[in-house]
Amino acid sequence: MAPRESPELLQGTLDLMVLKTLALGANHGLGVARRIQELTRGTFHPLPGSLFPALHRLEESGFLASEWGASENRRRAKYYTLTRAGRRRLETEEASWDRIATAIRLVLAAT
Amino acid sequence: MPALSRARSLLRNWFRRRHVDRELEAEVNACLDQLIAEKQAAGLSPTEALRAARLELGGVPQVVEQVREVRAGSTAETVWQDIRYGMRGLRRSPAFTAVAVLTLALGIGATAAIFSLIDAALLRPLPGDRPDELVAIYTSDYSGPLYGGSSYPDYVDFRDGNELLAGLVAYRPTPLSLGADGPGAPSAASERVFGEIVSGSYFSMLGVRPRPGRGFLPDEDRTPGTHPVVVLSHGLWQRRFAGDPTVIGRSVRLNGHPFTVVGVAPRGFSGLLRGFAADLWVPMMMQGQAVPGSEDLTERGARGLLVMGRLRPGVTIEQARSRFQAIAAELHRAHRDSWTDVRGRPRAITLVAESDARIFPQARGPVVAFMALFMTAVGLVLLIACASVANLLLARASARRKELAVRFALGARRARLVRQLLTESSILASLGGIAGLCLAMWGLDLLMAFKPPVPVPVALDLGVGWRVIAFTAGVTLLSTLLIGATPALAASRPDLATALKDDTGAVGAGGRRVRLRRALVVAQVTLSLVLLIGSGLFLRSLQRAGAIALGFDPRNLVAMSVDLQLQGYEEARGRDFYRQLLERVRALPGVTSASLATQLPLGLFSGTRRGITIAGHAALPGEDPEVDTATVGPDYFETLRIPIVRGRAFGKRDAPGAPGAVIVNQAFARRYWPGRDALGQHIQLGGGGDPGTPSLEVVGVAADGKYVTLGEDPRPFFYLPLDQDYASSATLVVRTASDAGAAISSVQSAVHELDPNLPVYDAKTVTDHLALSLLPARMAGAVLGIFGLVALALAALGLYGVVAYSVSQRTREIGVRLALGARRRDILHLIVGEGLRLTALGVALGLPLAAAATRLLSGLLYGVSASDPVTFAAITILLVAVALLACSLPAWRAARVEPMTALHHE
Repeated sequence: MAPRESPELLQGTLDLMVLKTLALGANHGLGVARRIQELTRGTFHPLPGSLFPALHRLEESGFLASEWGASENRRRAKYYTLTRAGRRRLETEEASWDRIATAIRLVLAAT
Repeated sequence: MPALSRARSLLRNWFRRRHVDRELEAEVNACLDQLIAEKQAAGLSPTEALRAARLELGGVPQVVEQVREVRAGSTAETVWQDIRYGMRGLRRSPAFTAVAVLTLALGIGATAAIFSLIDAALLRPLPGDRPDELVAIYTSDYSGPLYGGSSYPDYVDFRDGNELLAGLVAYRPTPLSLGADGPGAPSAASERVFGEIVSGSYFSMLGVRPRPGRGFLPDEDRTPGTHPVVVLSHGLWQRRFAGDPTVIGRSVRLNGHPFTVVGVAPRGFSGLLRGFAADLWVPMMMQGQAVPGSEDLTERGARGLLVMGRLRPGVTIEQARSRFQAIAAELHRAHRDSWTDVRGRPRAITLVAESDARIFPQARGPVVAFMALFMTAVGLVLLIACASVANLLLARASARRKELAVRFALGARRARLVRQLLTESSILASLGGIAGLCLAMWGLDLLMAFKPPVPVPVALDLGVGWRVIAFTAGVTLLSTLLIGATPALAASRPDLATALKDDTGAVGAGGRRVRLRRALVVAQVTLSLVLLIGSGLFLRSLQRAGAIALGFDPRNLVAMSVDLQLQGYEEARGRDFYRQLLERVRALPGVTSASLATQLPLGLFSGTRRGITIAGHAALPGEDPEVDTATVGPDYFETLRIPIVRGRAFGKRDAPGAPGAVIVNQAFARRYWPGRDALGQHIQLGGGGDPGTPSLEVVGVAADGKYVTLGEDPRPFFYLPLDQDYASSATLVVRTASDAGAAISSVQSAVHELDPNLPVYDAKTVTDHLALSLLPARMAGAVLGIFGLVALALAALGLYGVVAYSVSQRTREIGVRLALGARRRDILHLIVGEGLRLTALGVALGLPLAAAATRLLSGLLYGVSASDPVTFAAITILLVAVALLACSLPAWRAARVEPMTALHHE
């Protein structure tokens, strides 16, 4: 059910995925969880409960802003949007992720 | 940016916690609602949807808690929780808290008090601007020692054309007689104060700004005798002028001459000699008026001035040293006579950074040794106090095992439990630290109120500054670790199974903890043994001091000093005064004899040395060319009861103009005329052997005595007759038929009748005077003794605690033993034996440690060896006796156990 990666990797990757998801448009906690599941084609299935700590941490760091709004099914929900600092953060995170991924691929490709 | 934002969140979380929490709960609840709606939309029944949603989300309170844990300031929040929890726990056991805090306060307070002493004496820089640029500049003495004074011409040569120095001051401490002048002035009689005669650059160079008023002007530093101005110390201003700001411009009399007050030095500035409080400052150019007969400003060979310079920014002390080496060489070339020492070598200039010159370099060694001794002693007390409190905490942890085990079983993490126990320790240590600082301030107040019997104003500014507070905080932190670490580690590994069972009666439970407590008690016994042996040695040393042969009879003697020069007496008037004074005093009822001397034996801070030349005596390598001496009036030997073993005492025939006479002691005769008769031999004063100096004939040999310190070996000493060697200041010694203390005031009034304006100072019995030479040993003995007793009490308490605890744990066992026929005496032996085994172990460890430690004291002891077997034995017996007492109380209680009650005891 829950992602089974090591917690350290998870934290970095979860933050990256949350930021990327929100870059595609404002969303609420459950929406972000569903979006990640959808985008990773089910590889990651983050529990809504485990997303809230990440969302709040990112908000407290100034990368996200939040406000109350109405959800698709006309219920109240807290919507998160990416701030300018969050956008910059996403760029650097993306770049560093690319470097890591390339490096790991290179190691794995070694014969 | 993220940091800033997190800081904002921190404030919000802290101050609007309620709001933030409500908001979070609403958000998570909303998410739950969404999930339910989603599940229902997927076709689940409302009940099933709720269940599935709950399962997926994981429970609203749990999610809220998870978010809270990552929130900014969550650590602070748990710390705060720990503190509140700890405080509650401590409030619940007030007796434990009081004992622990008091114990720590003693340890930390003693450490803080000694540290502020060290701070005041050695660590605190001079007040004023950038003291790190200051260097003390010493010219070597003629007899060799490096740290001597310079002359005014030397000072001028150091100052002028020296591109490495930004400024230079010369100063000289001197006693002065201060009298008020003019209408409205306080009518206080003349008072003897200490001041500094200083170069005009003094205040400006040091960066000390007098207020109200001003420092000295350049004009006041040019021509001798033209500007009679004086700057008062803040203390003198308060004491004598009640802090009146209109004192500026007022006239005061210094040694009879009118001077105008131009300024008041800021509070906390008391001159350049640490430990010696100057009350006023007079420009060097006025020294002829302020201190008649003081050395000439043009005299190249004078040595009376101390010099301090300020290096230009960027100049290192090494650069300045090599520059001054060159200056010394130039001066040696230009003034060969005054720049050559008695051994014919050029005199040297030595530069010492201000940080190392706060205590006069020659006195620095003993001062540092004393401070180190005191610090070691209080360090031991602190360790013992911490062991004591750690022991109490361990006992408490035993009592709380069940509570901790329950919390552990409920999922509290070990780190969290350890943190919590450490929080409790740090609350105790902080309370102890605060109480200790108060205790230290109180103790220092007491110390400052204690005036040592010395003829100069000894004053240290013992204020508690930031350095002392920082040090105390550091010590408190250290104590936290010392008292907290063992119990926290011991308690955080509870054996759940046994702890949760009701095991108060079980034998052997908590064995590791008991072992730890025993180890702590052994450490306490060891450390207190070391401390007690140290103080015991000083006490023995004091006891021995009473038996040391002084070479004179100190009983029924009164002494007091006059300084005629302060009132402007010239030689003829002075001689007349002395003659009349002795006549009057001898006529007083109860006085059997009276005499004068330039100084009494065994004055800790006084003593005159003179170079001598003896025909036919070639100085041995390393031999001190100067010999201690005193100039004495008629009947001196009779008054002090110093036996004359050969020849005669001074008499009428040693008048001014008669052939020069000298009396030497036996050690002098042995050194210079070994195997020969000293009578009739001749000596010359001065190291040069100048044929113009009159030759003095030895007319008598006096018995050896103690002259400088009680512990000294017999040393050469010689006496000159006052009639042939006039001195303007002298100490009057009077032998009385009975109680000397009662005679002080009648002798004093006899002096006053002769000259009401002459300040008489330092009036005392000679027995009190001798107390001065015992002062270091007495202080060391008192400090170590107090700390040793505190340590002993703490060790006894610790021992009592451990034995009593073990008795309470073994009640059932004791009951069984009694029921099986053990006699009460056996129980007594059993329990006392346990305590004594710990004591014996402590003593076994402590004796070699003490033997190693006390070897460092040998320089401070006299008449007793540092490994004095009597002291070691006596202290060991004392300690064992106290330990026996501490164990026998619980043992006695154990022996009175009723077998039936004990067996029912669960």
